[in-house]
Amino acid sequence: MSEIRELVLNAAGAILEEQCTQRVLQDAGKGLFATALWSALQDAGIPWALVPESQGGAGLSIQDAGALIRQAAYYAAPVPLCETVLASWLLNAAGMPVPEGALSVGFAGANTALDVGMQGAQRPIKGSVAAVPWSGDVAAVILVVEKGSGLVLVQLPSGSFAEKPGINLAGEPRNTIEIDTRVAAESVCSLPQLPYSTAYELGAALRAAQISGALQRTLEMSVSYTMERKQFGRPLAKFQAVQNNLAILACQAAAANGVAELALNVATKPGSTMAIAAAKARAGEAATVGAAIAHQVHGAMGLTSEYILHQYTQRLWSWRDEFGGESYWWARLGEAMLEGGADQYWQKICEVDDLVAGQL
Amino acid sequence: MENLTFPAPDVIPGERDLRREVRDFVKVELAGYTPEERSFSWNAYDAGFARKLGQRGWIGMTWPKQYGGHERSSLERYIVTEELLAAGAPLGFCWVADRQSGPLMLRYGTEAQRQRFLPAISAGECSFCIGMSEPDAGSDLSAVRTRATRVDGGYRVNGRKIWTSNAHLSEYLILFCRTADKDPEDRHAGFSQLIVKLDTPGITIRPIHYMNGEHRWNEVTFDDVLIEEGMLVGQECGGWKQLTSELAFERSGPDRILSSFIVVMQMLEVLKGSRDSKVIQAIGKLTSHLVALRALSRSVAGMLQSGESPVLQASVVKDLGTSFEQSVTEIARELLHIEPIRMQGATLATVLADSIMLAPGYSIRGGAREVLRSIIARGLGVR
Repeated sequence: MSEIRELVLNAAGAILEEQCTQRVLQDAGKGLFATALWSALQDAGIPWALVPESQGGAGLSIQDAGALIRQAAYYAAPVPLCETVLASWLLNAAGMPVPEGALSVGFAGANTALDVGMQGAQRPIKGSVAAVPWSGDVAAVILVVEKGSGLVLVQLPSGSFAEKPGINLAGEPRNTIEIDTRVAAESVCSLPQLPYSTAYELGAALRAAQISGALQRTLEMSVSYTMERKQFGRPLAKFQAVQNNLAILACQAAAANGVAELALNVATKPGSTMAIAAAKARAGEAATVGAAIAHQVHGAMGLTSEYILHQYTQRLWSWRDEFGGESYWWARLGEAMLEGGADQYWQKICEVDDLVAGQL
Repeated sequence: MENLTFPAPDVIPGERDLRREVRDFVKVELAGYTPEERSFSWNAYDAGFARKLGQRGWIGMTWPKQYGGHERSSLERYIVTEELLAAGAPLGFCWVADRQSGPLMLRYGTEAQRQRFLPAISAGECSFCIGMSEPDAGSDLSAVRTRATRVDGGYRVNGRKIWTSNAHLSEYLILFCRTADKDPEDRHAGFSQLIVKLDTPGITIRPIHYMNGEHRWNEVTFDDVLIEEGMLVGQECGGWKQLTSELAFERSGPDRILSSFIVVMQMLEVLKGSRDSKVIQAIGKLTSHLVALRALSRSVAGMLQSGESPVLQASVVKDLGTSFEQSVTEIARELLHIEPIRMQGATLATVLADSIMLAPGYSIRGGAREVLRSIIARGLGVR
């Protein structure tokens, strides 16, 4: 582990350990924003992990920032940390200033009904964007709008849109925002060289990191619960059938760790779509298998709102579908591989290593 | 709980060139080698091919030059191995010697053993097999009963080994046996490893045919076999530790992922360009597993290279990898309307038929799935 990674992980870990109490998580599930947690993270500069030091950020690599996001997921931190990191990376790529406070990201692909005016001092923005995390709790929503082979970024200040509230399985806001407004010209930036898919795939890589963090936590909870809980006169963990389940859960957590590492390593590099696709799909599958086992070994206790397990499993069930679920990425991967057939298959598989090595 | 992380391995300088070199070699050397033959890969025995690998410097790649090695990194060896397996190259002759016997002698052997065997192995001229399992000692090797007794001029061995792959074709066998009585306090005590020349008088090799009729396994019986002095590897009664230290190497490599790769390739030959969403999804899923497994396996290789001992991670890779290998035949069955009929010219049907019969063994050889899961459970702290 790099020294800088260790340093920021320790700093963030202390905050998360202190702030992510069961109470905070439960309140967040009821719609109460975790203000104290967010302030502490913000005071430590953690949300600006990917902003260069010259711009006042921490200047971390995507791998190190991803490790931070993974750690926040390990604590089920109910705040838009991942979103702010992603938004600030995009703003920085566009040369736009990164505003103070929490940020969110809304993705408007080519099929989204959203019009963005590209002329004049005041640009009309009209349409709606679905599944925007914490749109009502952030200083600004950054819209990522697919345009030709590139993208357009639009910075929407809070209050400049209407919301149709929605929540994911963990109670985290995922709102549809209705926009009919005008923003200043400097809040719109066209990036024809940055593919929309790159931004979306970075999001997928960060979600994979979150899945691996939450799975690690469910594994640890499952191990300690089955060691403590006794039935038939001995701890559940002493039953081979239970041990077998725990080993399968560990394999899935390990697989998620491995693919998250891979995804963070290749994210934003040209040609990384296949690696990200494989990683996000595999992490999603791990989430499915892992969450099911975690619940199985916890018995009825794990199903209650009082017991904290669901904070992790609900996030796993949501994150596996956010930024593309398994079937979405399998289709992308399958199409690409079937196009080349047997002749190119192995070569394409090995290109992932060239990407990791930065030699593609 | 032990660590379950999988850091990306260091960049391997010249990886692409090395891959290309192996691909070019395979293209020439295996032209005309059928998919049916390729599907046996590291079990197919071809002495001529081994010598060619030796000439290329691809056996004993990581060993010191003074023993005929080439002082390449274990990640470079990983790449060569993986490319050869992906092509279905017949690696049986040098497989055990390169992966296990050579490294064992390098680590624990005497200077005389190293000088005698390692150059011959790396030239592709000397083959080894492994005598571990016995009728009453499968997953539980501490039940091994084959006994070597010290006598004038060496050891006298009596006992019986089974499932010994390629014993009928190999020159030597590394014997795992008792050299001391059972210690009720320590069930791992009293074992040693001996190098045995298989044409030594008193050794009888009988075939154990696999269910498809193939002869790969053997029963090897030892009746008062005299093993000459100087054939003990490492310490007398230090065999258990020597054995277990090899396991992380044995369990996490590309051979635990690619056993059914030829089926994948044959399947893609047929399905190329398919627009059927069921096919697309299934190939996408299979590919996501393969990409993930390679990332995990390469990570373990990187950890081994830097001197770590990722026993837990290696067990995870083998469990996931062999499950993948086994899933391939079932995916093929789901996607293709084909009956597994072995017939000349019916390539896909034949490799599928063979794979269906070989697949159950993937999660038994080299550490049964249940044993791996016990190791993982112990790593989690629940055992």
